[in-house]
Amino acid sequence: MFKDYELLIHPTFGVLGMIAAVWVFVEALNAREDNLGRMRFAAKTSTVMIWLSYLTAGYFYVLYYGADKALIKAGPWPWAHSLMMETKEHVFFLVLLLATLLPMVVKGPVDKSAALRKVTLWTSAGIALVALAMEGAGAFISMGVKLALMAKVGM
Amino acid sequence: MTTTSTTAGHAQASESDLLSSKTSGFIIAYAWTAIFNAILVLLKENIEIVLKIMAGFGHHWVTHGVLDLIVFFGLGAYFAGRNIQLTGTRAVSYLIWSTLIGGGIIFAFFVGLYFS
Repeated sequence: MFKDYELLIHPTFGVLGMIAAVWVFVEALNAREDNLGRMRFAAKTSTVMIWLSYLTAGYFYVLYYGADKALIKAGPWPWAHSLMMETKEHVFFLVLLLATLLPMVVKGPVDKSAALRKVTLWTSAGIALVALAMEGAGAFISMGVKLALMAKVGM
Repeated sequence: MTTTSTTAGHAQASESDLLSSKTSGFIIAYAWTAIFNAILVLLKENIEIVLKIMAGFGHHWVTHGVLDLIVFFGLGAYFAGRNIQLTGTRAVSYLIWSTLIGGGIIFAFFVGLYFS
């Protein structure tokens, strides 16, 4: 039962991390001394959410994904595992690293340094875009399981 | 690696046009780790003993993540101590290209594997 909820918690944390990264992007577009605190809070929120997404994903992947993997590979969309999941599970590390990098970047004077502001914009945009790709890949994987189950019961 | 060109475009940009050595160091570390991550995928998918060793620590994916983090923080600490200061443009090019190349290698590899 817990694993069913856990599978929903993982993408939820991912989306929250992505939204927080977009929040950082918007704050950086309007970087001023009075919104630095908010930007740093959003950056830390993004980091925590992406890390929670990673930990919950790891827990499910290591303990339970084997059964889903077998189903997908025997179903009509085997590429949902061999292409989508295999790519997703390794590209995810890039989001994790970018999210870890973000608070280090915004710790500096983003309002005064054009260089820092530029890096903040691109780091947060990178998190949002790669996380969005992860969410998309996750949808294909879920669909792979669903189609495999439907095929199994003859639908 | 240290350059002095400036980055324009923000009304309040006037003081620092170079990133701190800590920020620069960790951006370079990210770029190297993104490539390392992709190389590790190629190694473990092509050389069975690598996969076995990585799986020997519990699960190959967990080991993969831990190795990435060790490389990232290790290289970050190393480069941060080398007093390298990147311009914003140079740092962004490191971020973009390493993400595209690292992610691209992984995607291309699994596409190739699927169709082979």
